[in-house]
Amino acid sequence: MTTILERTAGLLAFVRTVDAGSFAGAARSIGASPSAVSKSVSRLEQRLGVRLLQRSTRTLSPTSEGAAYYEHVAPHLRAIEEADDIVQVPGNVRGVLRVTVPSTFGRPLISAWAGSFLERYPDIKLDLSVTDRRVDLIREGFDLAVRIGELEDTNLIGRSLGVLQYVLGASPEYLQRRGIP
Amino acid sequence: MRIAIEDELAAGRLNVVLPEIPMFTTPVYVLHAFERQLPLRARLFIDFLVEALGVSRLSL
Repeated sequence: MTTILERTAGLLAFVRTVDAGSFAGAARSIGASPSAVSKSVSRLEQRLGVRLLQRSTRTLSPTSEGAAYYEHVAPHLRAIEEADDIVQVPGNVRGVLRVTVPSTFGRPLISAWAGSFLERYPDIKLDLSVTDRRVDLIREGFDLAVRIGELEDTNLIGRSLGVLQYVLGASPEYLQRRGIP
Repeated sequence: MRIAIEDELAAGRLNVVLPEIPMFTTPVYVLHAFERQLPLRARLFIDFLVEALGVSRLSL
């Protein structure tokens, strides 16, 4: 007999797996391992007596029962997660924030900014990824992605952080040898 | 980009050359997939990034 907690874990694993299209993406967004997510979904399928995911194809996608189940369950799960946020104020804000940034941001973020942010909000856990690879935010389970350059057509929501300016730099030694242009 | 060499500029290992020639700028965005409302921790982090970008000596 599964407890309500075990059932909820299965629902979360399943919904996130459908959102991300993979156990790995779901795992990242939950903070669990991909195998734990996979097992959780299997237990849910056993309890329901129904295949929810098609594991035979290369990308994970829901069966027709899985899609119907998802449509019913996902909005409720989302509402519950949003409810967590309703009671939070800056003074008590908490939770994991999964952010991916390009390497241009990586250094200043890690060396200076992240420290001040975490000092201000000590109960927030920052899961920071620094990469110049084009990241698929939803599939890889990130909350936020910083992107430099014009946005391509995307179904994500983008908020402008401002503008970066290119500068020409030279070492003092070089300028001494070659003169200042 | 300036932000990538901020430390070097501050330490004097690099100087800005030809500052009077306007170099091209590139926009920066933060993307997310939260439909209705951003969770508070995400909102605060974005506000923080905007503030940090403004304070470090960048042209915004």
